[in-house]
Amino acid sequence: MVKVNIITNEIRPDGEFVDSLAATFQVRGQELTVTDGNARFLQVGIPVYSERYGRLIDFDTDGEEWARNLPSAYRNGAVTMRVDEVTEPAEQVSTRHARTPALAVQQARQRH
Amino acid sequence: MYFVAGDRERLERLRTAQASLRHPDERFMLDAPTPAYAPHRSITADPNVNAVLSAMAEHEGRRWPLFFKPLHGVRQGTAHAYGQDSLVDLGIHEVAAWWLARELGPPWSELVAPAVWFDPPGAADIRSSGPVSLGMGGSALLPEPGAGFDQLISSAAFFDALIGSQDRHDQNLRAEPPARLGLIDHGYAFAQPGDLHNSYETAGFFLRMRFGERRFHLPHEPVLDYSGVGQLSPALDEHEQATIARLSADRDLLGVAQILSDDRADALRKRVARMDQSGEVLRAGDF
Repeated sequence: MVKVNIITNEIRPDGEFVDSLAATFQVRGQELTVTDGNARFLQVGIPVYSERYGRLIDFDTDGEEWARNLPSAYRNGAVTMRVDEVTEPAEQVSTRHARTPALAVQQARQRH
Repeated sequence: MYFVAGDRERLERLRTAQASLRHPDERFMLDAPTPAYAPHRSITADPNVNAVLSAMAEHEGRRWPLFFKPLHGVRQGTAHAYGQDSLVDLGIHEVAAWWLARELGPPWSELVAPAVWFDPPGAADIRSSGPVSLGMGGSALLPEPGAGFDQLISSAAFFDALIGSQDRHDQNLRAEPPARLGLIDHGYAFAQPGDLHNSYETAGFFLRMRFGERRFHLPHEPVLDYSGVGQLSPALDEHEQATIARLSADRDLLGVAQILSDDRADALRKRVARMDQSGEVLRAGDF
C-alpha cells in the first residue's frame, strides 16, 4: 500500500509560510481511499513518469506505481507530497487487489 | 553536462543579461545573500518528495520566500514526454515566462512569478543550478466560485496562450482574496505544435473558462464549480490586441527570443500570428 500526504503552503502578506495538510489518501492495488482532508487536491488524471514502465502513466495504469511517483509531477513549490510505502500482512494484500496493474499483465504476456 | 545543441549558449546569454537587470524583484533575488535552501519545510522522506527547495531571503530590509528548483529534481523521462529534452531549457523557461511578462507590463507583470537563474556557489554540475522564483502570496487553489477573479482569469488565459503552457491547472497558481492571482511553474511551457498538454481534468482551465467552461469534473469530487466567474470571451480585448501587435513587430520577442531555442521562439511567433489573425486566444493545448 502507498500512503500519500498532500501538503500545501500559503504565503501570508508578511511573507511567512503556513503549511497545512490538504489531503491524505492511500492506494492499495487499484483501490484509492481518501482518509483525510479535501479530495479536491487529488489529481488522479495527472500523468506521472514511471521508471518501471519507462513512460508516463496515470492511476488507471497502475494505482500504486502512480502514487509512488506522484511527487515528481509537482514542482511548483506550492504543493508538496510525501509518499510512504506501508507494508501490510500478505493475506490482506492478496484479497484487496481489485484489478491487476498494467505492468503485471504486460510481464505475464511476455512470459508466455 | 548539457542536453541539446545551443542550450549552453542560451544559458550564457541569460547569465550575462542578469547583471544588468533592474526590476526590484530580480535585484532582490540576485543581490540577497544566498539563503539556506532546504527541502520545503519538514518534509524529509527522500527521494519521494518534491525536489523544490525553499528559503527566506533577506536583503535591505526586505524578507521574502524564494523557491529554488535545481535541475536534478526534474525527471528526464517526464521532460521527454512533454517534448522538453533539455533540462537547461526547462529551467530557462521559468525565467523566459517572467521576462515576457515583465516586458508586457501590467497586468501580466503582476501575475507571473518573477524568476532568475541561480548557480549555487561552488556548483560543479549544471544539474545543481536552476531557476529561483519569488514566492507569490496566497494559497495553491483558486477559491470557488471564483467571483472577483474574472479579469485576472482572462489575463492569465491570454498569457498561457502566448507561452504555450503545457501544465496550467487549478493548483499551478497562487490565489488569495480580495482577488489576487499569481501564476507559477512555467518549466513546461513554450511548447511546439504536437507537444503534450497535461491530461489532468483542469489542465488549461483559464483558457477553457474564456471559451465558456465553468464546471470541471474531478474523479473524487462531484464538480469543481466556477459558476461565479462572470462572462468571459475568447476574443482579444484592446490591450491584448495591442500586445499582440507589439510582439508581432519585434522579431526578438521583446528580448525573450535570446533565451529560447529557435524552434520554440518560432512557435511563439506563430501563436502570436494566429491570434492576430483570428482575434481570439488559442484553445488550451493548441500550441
